[in-house]
Amino acid sequence: MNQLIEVIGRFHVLILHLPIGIIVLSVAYEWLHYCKWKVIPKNIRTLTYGIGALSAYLASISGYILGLSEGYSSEINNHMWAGIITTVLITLVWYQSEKNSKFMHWYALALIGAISVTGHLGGTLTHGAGFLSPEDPSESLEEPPQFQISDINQAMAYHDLVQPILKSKCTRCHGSSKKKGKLRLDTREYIMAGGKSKLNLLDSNVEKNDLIRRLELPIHDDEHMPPKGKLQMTDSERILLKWWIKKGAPLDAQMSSLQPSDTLLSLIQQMINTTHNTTAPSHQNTIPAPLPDVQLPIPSPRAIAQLQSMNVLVLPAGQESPFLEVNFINVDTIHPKHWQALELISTHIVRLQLTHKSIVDSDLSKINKMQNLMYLRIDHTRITDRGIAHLNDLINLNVININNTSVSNKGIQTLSQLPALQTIYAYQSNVTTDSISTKMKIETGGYMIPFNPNDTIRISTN
Amino acid sequence: MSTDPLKLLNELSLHRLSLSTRRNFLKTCGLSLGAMALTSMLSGCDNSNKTVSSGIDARDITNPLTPKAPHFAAKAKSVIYLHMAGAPSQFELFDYKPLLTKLHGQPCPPSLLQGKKFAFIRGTPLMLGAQSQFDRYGQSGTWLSDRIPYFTQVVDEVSFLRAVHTDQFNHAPAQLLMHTGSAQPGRPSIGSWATYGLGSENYNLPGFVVLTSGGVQPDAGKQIWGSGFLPSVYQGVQCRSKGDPVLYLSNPEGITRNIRRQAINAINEVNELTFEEFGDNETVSRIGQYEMAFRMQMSVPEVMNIKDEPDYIHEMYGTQVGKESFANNALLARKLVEKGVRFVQLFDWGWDSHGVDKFSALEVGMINKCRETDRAIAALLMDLKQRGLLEETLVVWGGEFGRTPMQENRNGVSQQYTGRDHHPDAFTMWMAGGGIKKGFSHGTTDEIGYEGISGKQSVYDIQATILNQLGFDHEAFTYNFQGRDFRLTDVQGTVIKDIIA
Repeated sequence: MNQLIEVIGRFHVLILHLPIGIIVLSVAYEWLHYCKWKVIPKNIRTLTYGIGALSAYLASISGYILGLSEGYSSEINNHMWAGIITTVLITLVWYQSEKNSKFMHWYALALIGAISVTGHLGGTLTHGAGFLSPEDPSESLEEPPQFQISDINQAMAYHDLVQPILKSKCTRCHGSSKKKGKLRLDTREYIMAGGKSKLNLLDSNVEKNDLIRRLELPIHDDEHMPPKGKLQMTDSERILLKWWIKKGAPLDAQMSSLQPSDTLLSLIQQMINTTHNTTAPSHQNTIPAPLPDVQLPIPSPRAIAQLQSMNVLVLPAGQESPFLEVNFINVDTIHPKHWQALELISTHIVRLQLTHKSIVDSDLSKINKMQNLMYLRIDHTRITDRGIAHLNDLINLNVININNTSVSNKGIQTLSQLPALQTIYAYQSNVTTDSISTKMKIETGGYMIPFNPNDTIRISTN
Repeated sequence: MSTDPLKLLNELSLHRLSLSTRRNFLKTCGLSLGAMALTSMLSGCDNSNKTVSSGIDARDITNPLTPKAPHFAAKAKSVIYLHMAGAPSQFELFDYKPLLTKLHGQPCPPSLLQGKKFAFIRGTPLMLGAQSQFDRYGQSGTWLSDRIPYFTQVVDEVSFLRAVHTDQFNHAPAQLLMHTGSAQPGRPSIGSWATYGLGSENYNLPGFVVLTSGGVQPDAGKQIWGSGFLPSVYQGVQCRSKGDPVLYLSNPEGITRNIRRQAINAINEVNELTFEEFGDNETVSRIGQYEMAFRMQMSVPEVMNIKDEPDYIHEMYGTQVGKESFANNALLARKLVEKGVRFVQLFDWGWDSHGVDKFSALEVGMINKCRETDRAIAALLMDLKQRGLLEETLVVWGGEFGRTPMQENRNGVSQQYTGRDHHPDAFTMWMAGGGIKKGFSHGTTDEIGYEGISGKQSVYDIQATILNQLGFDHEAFTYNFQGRDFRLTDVQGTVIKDIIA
């Protein structure tokens, strides 16, 4: 029986749309008639109010039941009273309509106001306060736990470690404001009391503990917590929670008194360190390579087609990206026509490969116009220090490969001015220095693994 | 391809004649009409993005290897996947477990055996500590064993995945799962997916090359570099470091390159007619393959020739010209990536250390395997690094599963040599270059290395990560076959963000 009533409650989210629609319709009828745009017989208008009133009662009753069964607190009150007022109001308006009141169009406006307020309050309950204006991050942003710990051994297991995790991953839905499944996880007592199912969620027999079970279910499972789409628990956080519960979930215990293993301690240390500098947002499924932060129009399709017809590989840096990657790998000899076409797309090029091609020093002044270039391979070419000196505008250049060229230490001095440059590959060039500035790595290679006769010995397996 | 080209020329002229005779028309007309109706009804069996019908210029699609852009900007342009077939023991190489050494020789507690299935272990096995010595190496202070002395020099280039798990405990299905995302045959391999998505950068070389060593092909056979339901042009091209690099690629005696060209032109004409008639993409693949093979006759012998490499490179890798070896393959992998090949897959057989004989003993055969690969792997990473290629080349190392912390006792009898059984629950893999963190470890196993306790990653996660580095969202990278979209990772897999730099 209880379950049936709960189901009726759940129908609130369906039924509530009836009064909204019918009220809007009845008000539209009222004003169309009032402004004399359309003649709508009185009995139709009254009937619409009547049906609207009936649906409002249904919505109110189901809403009340839903409010009881789900774990809502006082935040629900405003919505409830607004709903009751709307229901009473439409009943009165229906009554007035029967009585042929002259002020029907004003009553109708009041109805619209009431249903709007009720609807908005209800919407806020389901979607959260930040839904209408998501650019305001204060409400909606989920953040990884913030730990304030200097020494793990002295940290309090519950207050300093467990509680921040629960606060970050659980109490948004199981806390003082929202109590989904009648469960609160914001204090130890509440966790022990459990939710609707009344299971002790601190049961130190972790094999039977429902909290642990749900955390460890695969993410696709309906019972998995936190639900899919929310910020998930990390492995370390799960391990720590399980360990704390296994130890009897002590409220006031220092970590050291619980004798954690070294593996656990290093895990926790790692957990604390990484949450301080989380980089990748966890909702993202993929991690692309970085591109310059500028808006560009689409590159000239004619220039691209022209280059492609001359065997140059021109591909966008990812589908639909305006940036281009250009590779001369299939080109035998470079012509002036190549450079002319390249010039038309020069701001779009982020990667350019001219390995083994017949480029000369003066060509590098054309490359210097590619202001968004991040990755440049001019290895195995005849370029010299004089050519490198042209490259002084490439503010986005991240990697340059000048292997097998005659560029020397003097040449790469110019490169030290480039703000984004991180790596210079200068293997088999005349570069001998390992560093020109601290942020720049110069890879001169020349690695050797000397011959060791022992390596050739194989133990007989016969 | 040793068919007499003159015969093919005759066949072409006969074929042309048959198209123009009235009798032939009347004979086949009824059948063709039926076939036309049937092809339009059966289109579900073929590639869904097929917009070609007869009459469209076939040249646009005769090169299915035309380079394509991935979903998003990629950190890696190529992948070198080093697969140690047979599954090397993580306990003798990477997973340092002092407690296991302490427990050495003690019977395995029943709680660890409950509900577990092993390939060969029966009854109660004994715990087996590491058969090698461990120490810390590199800036990262990573624990490594003395079996791989050269690898210790490049450990700071690498991200370890210490708690990888799979759900197959036999070689063939586990290798299939690792490389095709399914333990059953029939799915495209990861290299095929990559080539399908990216095409081939170098016009003269295939996008996906396979090199094997160890004397034996991997247990799962050639399907682990097969193209499954993708057009067959995307399958891995197996090359050899000894003899002809590609079997049956060179012209037979007395056939010049000119005659070969004419023969291929004739074959292509027949194929183009067939394509116009049936609109099957496999025909286009076939034309593309003939053309690619013709170009490869020139390009492959050049790229597969390591003779011209300087002596210090040979010394570094430990290569010997004209021999089939892992070292030669590693050097070739570098050369192929340098030439723009997208996916190079190396299989090295012989890591199945059960301890049933000397070859499969941890203290004999495995040492040999380490000596055959260690220097070459270190050399490969160093060489890629100095050439600026490691920046854009993802190197992946791993077996198909791990090995047990217990000593194998085949049929319940203790063995003369030490070995470990197959173990799918926790093993180590590593990745380097191509936008992966340097000198990093992700995941931990429990104190005897039996199961992962944090950073557990599935085979699908590995695949999702490789695709991510190549610029693909593994959830959106699909191919429609038999009425539904297929993915390499099926319905699973998450990108291992922790190891991405």
